[in-house]
Amino acid sequence: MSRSKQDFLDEAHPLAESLLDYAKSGTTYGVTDAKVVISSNDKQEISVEKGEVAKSVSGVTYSVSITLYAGDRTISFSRNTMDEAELKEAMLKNMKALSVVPANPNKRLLESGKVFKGSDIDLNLVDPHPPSSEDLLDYAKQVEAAALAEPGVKGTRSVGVSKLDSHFLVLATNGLDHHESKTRYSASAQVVAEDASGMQIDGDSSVARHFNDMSKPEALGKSSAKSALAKLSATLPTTGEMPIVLDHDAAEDFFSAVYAAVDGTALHRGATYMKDKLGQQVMSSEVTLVDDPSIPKGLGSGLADTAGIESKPVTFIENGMLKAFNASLMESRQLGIAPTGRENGPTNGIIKPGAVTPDELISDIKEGIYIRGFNGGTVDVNNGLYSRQAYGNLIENGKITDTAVAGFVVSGNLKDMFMNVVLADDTPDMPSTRHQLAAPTTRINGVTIAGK
Amino acid sequence: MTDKPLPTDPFFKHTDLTPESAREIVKQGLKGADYGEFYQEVVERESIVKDKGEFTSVSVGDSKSGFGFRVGQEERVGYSFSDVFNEAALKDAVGRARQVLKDKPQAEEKQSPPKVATELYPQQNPMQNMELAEKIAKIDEIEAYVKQLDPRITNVTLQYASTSKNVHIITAEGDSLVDQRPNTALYIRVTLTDKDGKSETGMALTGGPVDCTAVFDESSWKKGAAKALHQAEMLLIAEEAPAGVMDVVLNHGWPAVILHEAIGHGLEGDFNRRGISVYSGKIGQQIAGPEVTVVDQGNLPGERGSLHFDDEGTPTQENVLIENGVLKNYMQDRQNAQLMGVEPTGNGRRQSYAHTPMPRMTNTYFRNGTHDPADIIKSVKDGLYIEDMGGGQVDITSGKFNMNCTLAYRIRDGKLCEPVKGATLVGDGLTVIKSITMVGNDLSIEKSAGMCGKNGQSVVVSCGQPTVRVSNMTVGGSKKQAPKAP
Repeated sequence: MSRSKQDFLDEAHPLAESLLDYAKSGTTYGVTDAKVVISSNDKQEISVEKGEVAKSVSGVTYSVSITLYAGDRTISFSRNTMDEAELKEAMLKNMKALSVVPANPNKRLLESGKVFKGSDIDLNLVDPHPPSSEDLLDYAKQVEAAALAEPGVKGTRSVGVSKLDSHFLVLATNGLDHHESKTRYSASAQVVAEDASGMQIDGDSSVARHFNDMSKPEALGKSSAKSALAKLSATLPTTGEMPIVLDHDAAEDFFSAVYAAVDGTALHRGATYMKDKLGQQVMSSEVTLVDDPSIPKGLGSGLADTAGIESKPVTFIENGMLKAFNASLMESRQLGIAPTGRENGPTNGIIKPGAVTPDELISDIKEGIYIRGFNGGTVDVNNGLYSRQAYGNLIENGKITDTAVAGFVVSGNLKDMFMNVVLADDTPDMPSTRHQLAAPTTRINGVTIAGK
Repeated sequence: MTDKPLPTDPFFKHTDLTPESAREIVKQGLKGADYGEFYQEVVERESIVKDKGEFTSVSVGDSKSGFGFRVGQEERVGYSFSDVFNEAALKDAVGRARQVLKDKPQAEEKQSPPKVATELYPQQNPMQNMELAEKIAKIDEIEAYVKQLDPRITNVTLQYASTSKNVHIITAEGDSLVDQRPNTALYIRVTLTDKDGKSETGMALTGGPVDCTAVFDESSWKKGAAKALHQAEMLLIAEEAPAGVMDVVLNHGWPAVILHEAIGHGLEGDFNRRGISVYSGKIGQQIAGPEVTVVDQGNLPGERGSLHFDDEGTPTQENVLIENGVLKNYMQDRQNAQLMGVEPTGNGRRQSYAHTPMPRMTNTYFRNGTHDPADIIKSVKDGLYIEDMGGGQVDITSGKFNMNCTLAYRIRDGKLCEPVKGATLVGDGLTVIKSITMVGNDLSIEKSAGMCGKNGQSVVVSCGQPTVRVSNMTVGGSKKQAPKAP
């Protein structure tokens, strides 16, 4: 039932053209330009419980977004219908409303000379061999069976696999005519482990553009169970100051704060402490963060953004120096800087590897915590406050111990924490089946732990 | 509301189906199922954003509509949804969903639940009583007012959004129910910058299940502006929060979000059916002091989390979850109620037609206790007073939660002292509920804030409480020196 790229384009392209033509006929209302974005998502989701289908969900959703421009006045709407008459009726209402919208020149369409004209590059984002419903169900059953086979596992909260086929087309009067199609598979298991100390839940997941690149189901079931088992008998560590070491998941979470700090909206509002730090040292000189949309099969890959700007690799942090802010088209005009072609957010992030092995990174820590994950809390890039609940294992005399710790809070100020990171040499390869931001094992000295 | 005849607009505006033909297909589709329903939605929305003096977004005429069809047998659920609502799409959805069914004797005919009598929120489109030009003019007026409140203001963001969610359900009993669920919000964000270039932001949300005229009412937005400014002013002089174990006093109203996370989620039926909640198997046990009574109530007039009926068509009601410290009930949808052999409680909710329902909260609150709020603060020697919270998360299996505090104050010798920022409260639900040592008499339910996420689905909720004292909580903060134990 899923639609191919050609099926989508055969329906969407003529509709978008017709809608643009209709918009151009609105000159009596002052319409000068228009942009139409059409997207469609086919979703299928299967979850299993006790070796049987627990839930099977499927459906298709559309969205048509239309922006009308009368010089510097802009109004938009979106509807999830492909019904041309209904869309034109809504467009006419907005044409009539355009005259009362205040002007904002920063919202204008991209200058036609700068519009992405297409390319021959194939990022391989569509699975050429999509699995059948039976394949998906079989995968989920194997994950569940492998998880339940681990001693100490009480049951599961959820085991599921999903498939998403998405397409989008953007057409505008500045000559923009761009479309992309992607497939995305994801699977996850949340497993409950139990011992005399009580129950613990945790899990693992896998995401890929091609179904064959997913983690093997047995491995995913096993690693999900292991995560939950590792939390059993967790205690609170002692309150105090100590070094922490972040595993790949926790490091990904931690370094995502860099994106918040270099965000164009935050910069425009003056709400990031990095606002006047361009060209200056903001992180340890070991840190280089490259955001690369051109990785084949990458979870964040794409050729251009919806504004029509070509997406190219951007180095935000180089040897600890702040090299660029992430600006959308509107933000670039507000700020007077170049747009980065990331209207829809960051793409694939890579923190370049450091100089030492993970073992060497830990070897001189007498007392510390190896962090496997963060939950909730505060990450404020304006004042730098960082305060997160975390879980993991104690580090003693240079080794990660079996003593699980959970329910404590890691606190510090990003201004210091970023300067104090030490990186291991184990950045995961891209594309990854778990990370959209690949970061190595990372040590941070001198953070505050609130425990018992 | 259920007592009106089913209108063809907006549900049957662009389709070859009639209310009668749709009902017939649904009736056939539900044959042999233990539970299930047809759920249809037409959501209209508009929004306006003014940020730093620029109108950065004016979106008018947004609409999203579709339907979902569900059948369930024991634990198995088949669900299909579509944006397109016509006979072919409905029949296709029914066929796909029914693939999970196995041959079984016909389930017995079910009784319709009682009809809803009281109107909890207005049954009208909340956007229509003002023209776009008037709304834009109001936003300009509010911005001008806020900017002159303090010379240190460097940025004002105003975000207005109004939604009308029209819901149509055909239940397993064959009843057609329709409801119009309004939600209008005005978000006010104020940034202050002091002479050293240090800046902080305060924010306030106004609105709820109300008409757009309510958020543009002068007394409403002036109150919001004052709250946002107060928060930014306090944060500008606040110190970093201490780390350690201390007594905590939670302000009445929104800080009840800790109740929602630490206790409420663990009392949802799906987790307890699977026995994976920290509260599983504890019905009838004394889990808190006698002053603690927790209620989830979806039929409170005018409250943000209220619904005439849930997303499976069950009327909402008052559910006493914990009474005088004794665990009484879980919150249920139809599936989990049936599997646990209890009645549904009106808590079956979903994000949209593209999602299946599950047990969710509505308005969750602590009932009043007997203490004067001032006495509660006076009772603390060395601790923290939480004026406002952001949000939080819970792990329902271990019961561990974390909550981030937007603005707090140190309490020393029973007096409120300097403001602090960046505090995170952590603990586990069973311990925290036992550690509630004083409950105030000033119950207040949050009107404007509250979105709850679970399994990737987000729904509108509210929570409330009187002032509450919790002893010996773990507080995470980045101030270097830990306080001495209380």
